[in-house]
Amino acid sequence: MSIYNKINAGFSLGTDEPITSGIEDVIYIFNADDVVLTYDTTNPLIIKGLTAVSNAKVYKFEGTNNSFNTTSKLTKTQVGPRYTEEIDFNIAGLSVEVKAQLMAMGYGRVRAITVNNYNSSDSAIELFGAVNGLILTDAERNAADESLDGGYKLKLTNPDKMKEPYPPRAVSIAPGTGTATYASTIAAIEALVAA
Amino acid sequence: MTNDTLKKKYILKSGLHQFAPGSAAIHSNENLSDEQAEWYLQRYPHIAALFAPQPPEGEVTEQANNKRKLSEDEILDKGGSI
Repeated sequence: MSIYNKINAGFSLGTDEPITSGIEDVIYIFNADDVVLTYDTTNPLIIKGLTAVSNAKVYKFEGTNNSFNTTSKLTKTQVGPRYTEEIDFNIAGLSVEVKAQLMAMGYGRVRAITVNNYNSSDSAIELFGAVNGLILTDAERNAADESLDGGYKLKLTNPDKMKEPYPPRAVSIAPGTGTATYASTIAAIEALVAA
Repeated sequence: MTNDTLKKKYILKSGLHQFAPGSAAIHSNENLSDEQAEWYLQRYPHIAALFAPQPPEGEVTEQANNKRKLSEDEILDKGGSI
């Protein structure tokens, strides 16, 4: 697969769609074994379909004030590049329901979809943990913390000893007919979100 | 291994599909026969959404008037006039 060891395009800086930082304050999280993925036939970096198993749902976690963030970082290994992924988010709540979800994310593996503030490209919407999933590695609540006002500070990362073989995948889901757009992808994800 | 595309009953939508969560995405219309599709559908019913919609069983489009029209020669042979 020469696509992985031969570059075949350059990059021109333009002013039409300047990149912007940050992600939207929303994360879609689902259990890793609840959804099957469909990849583009020629490009494994593109996910073109999400199909729920047995009416499973995707869960939406909302925040505010640009407080969510994602990081993907290349790590060099003896068998090639691998990628570590991190998603920092928070929950501005405190209840047994919230605690139960955090416990579940610590035991089981999840996958997460985030929406970049820069949405003028085919990578506006990204899926993390496509191969090995993510687990909750930080769940800190400092009752006296003024920056979070006692909310939960959370981090999803790759499980121990597991990195992702690809950068975060772009999610690009077409409507019934036609080509995939930002709007059609968001609509497809929202259709899976639990009411 | 795969059936002729025209004769296939189960047509997978484009792309490489996972049938079970966490599996490699290896299933495509090119490498899935009808027999295999039925086997997987029985065990993984959620993958029904990955197949293109099928026309209802037994529904065949018919012409509204399916009586063959007689040609002019045939009408004349039967003693008719045009």
